[in-house]
Amino acid sequence: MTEPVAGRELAPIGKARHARLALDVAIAVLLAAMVLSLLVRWPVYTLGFKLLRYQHEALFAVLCARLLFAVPWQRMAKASWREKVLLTAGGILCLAMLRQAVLFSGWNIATERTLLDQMAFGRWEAMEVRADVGDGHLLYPDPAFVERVVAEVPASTDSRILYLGDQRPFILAHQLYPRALLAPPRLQQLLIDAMGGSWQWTGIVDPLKPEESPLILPSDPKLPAIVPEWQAEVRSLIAQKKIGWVIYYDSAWPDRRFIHRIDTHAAAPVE
Amino acid sequence: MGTILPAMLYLALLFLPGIALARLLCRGEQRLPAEWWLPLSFALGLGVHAVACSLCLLILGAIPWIGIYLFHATVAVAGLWYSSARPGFPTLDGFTPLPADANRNLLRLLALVGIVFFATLYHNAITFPFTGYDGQAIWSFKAAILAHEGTVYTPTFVDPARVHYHRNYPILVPMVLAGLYRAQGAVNEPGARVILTTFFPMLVVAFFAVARRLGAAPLVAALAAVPLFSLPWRNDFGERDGGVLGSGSIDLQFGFFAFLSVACFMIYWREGRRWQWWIGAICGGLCVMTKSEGLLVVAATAFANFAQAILAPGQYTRRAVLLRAVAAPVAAIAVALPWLLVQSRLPNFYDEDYGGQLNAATIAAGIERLPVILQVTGADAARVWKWNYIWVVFAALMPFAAAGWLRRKDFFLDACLLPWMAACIFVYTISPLNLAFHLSTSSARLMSQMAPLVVLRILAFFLERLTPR
Repeated sequence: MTEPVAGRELAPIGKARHARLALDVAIAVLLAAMVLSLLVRWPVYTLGFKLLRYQHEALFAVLCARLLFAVPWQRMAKASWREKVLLTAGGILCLAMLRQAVLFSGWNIATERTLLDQMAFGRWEAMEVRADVGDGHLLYPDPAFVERVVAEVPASTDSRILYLGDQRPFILAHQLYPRALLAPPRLQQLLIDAMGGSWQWTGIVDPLKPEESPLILPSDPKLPAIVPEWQAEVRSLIAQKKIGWVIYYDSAWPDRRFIHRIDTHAAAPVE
Repeated sequence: MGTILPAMLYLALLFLPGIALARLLCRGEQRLPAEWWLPLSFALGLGVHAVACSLCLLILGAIPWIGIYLFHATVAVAGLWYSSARPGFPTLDGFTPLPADANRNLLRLLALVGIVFFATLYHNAITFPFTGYDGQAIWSFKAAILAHEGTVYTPTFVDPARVHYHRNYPILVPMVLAGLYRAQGAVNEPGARVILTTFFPMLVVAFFAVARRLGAAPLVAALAAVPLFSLPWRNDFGERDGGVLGSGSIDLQFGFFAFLSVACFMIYWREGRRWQWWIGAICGGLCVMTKSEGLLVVAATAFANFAQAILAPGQYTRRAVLLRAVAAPVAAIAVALPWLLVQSRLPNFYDEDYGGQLNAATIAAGIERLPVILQVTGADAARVWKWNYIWVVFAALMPFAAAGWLRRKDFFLDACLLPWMAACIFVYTISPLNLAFHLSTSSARLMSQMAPLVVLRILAFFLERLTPR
């Protein structure tokens, strides 16, 4: 008579189950490492981008190995040759897409600016904004400049801002609403056209003396020769107190940017 | 938390009427698993909001925001009470349990990958500012105007001197964001980006649900969803700004409605449940209210429904299915009608007035553009690092799929996607914009709208041939 066994006998653990378990643990560890990278970017800062790449490749390799256990091998053995071809093609396609997704998405995630970056460098500076002129894309003023404008223009103003710059004004328009409005873009276009479509303002604006800026002073002798229609319109709007501020933005020359208040001729150099 | 918590509460306010409507529409289903009710409730909740706002703009000329919030609460309470008090409505369940097989842990790990990914996107959305043209100049700006002035009939909205373009462009997304801004009394950009980002998890969950409905095993459905995970970066603005979904482009948001519309019509023709037809039609209407391309989605699904009704009506009489095929675009337009009437009163913008370009001379001149358009879009689609293999595989499978058309099987998605693509190419040929500029700023975005359906098409190709119906 055999002795009663206390408790339930453990089911035998096969090699396949061990291997599956080991691979699952490996995936979990690699994922944890990726999350860690995401939070502190230590591989990027300390060991370079190559390690990050190896990390993603390793994750893909382990996933592949784990997926081998998920393949319905018994069904494959019984399947017709057509089904075998389809299953094989589907499997290869699945692995190829998985690899691309792991590398592409993982890379993008890991190279994103992290919370720590943003705490260290500030919200806007953590974002790389391309301010290169002439590449055919929609371009915007440097966000730090936009924030400065938003901070400088008083909340109560109802006068318009004449934006002159080599980047598009939409961010300003959005950020300033409803406190202030940009001057009609027609004015800006007139000025651009008068300058032959060029954004080279050198010689028109003296950034070191914005209070003497010829752009906005009705007595300026240069204006009639350069842009008569624009000058007339600006003078009219200034007389009606419809332009209260002039913002000049030059992406190539940060020291030439300024925010100029017309009514007091007090200017605030930005950089 | 002053920015995120209000956004989450607002999302809950949008979800509640959606849940009620989802239950009412899905009458006859025994249960509604979370992979279905989550995306359906989200889409329908946004739909309730957008239609209510459009009706107010149409009838009252302005949006009474308190009334809108009360309307949401009323729809939610009335719908949930009605569906709870009567039999025949589905119960709202959790996610369909994972099968107790050897792949259980792997599925859990894949779910964990998804959660980490979503968390990254939300983190990104919260911390990065709107940077794209669409985010800044169109969506959030319009939302701010709607929240501040409560109407579209205002000089700020329609006066081109206010640096505001695309004045009559569909405004479902601005109306949704404006509800948040108004409730808080301030522009809450991070909160807006949380709402925009929520579309993506909902899209992935909807994809999983549809894939399971087509017969894919849970692991296969999860793996098929993997290519979607790089979608947030497959966008001109996302790439350039690093802003991903938070940059403010709404092509993926539009893609969510388009996916639900097309996929629900597709499974309707397989299963014949009425709610699938209704969701297909309603989401078609929401596409129209989200972007101009929505009209293409309605037209493409109408074409595919007609093709299905004529070629493969299934167990129904041809008259019955033809009636439903005719009614589908009518229902979609009926959903969007309040907005379309509001839109008709707004000034046009002529830089994208494609309808005005339709004359024989423009079309004839556009034919010369065709090789360039095909070359540029084809080269972009073949960029594996950007689009994974989805477009390459889709193109490779088409000849084999064509054999299925002849057998009158498995052609609904093709009948929808191919005319949609052809229409987009046609628009490029007649576009008044500079072609290089137009292609560089929009082709990747159009492709990202279709990408979830293309992945579904690839999955359906294999399932159709490996799974007995």
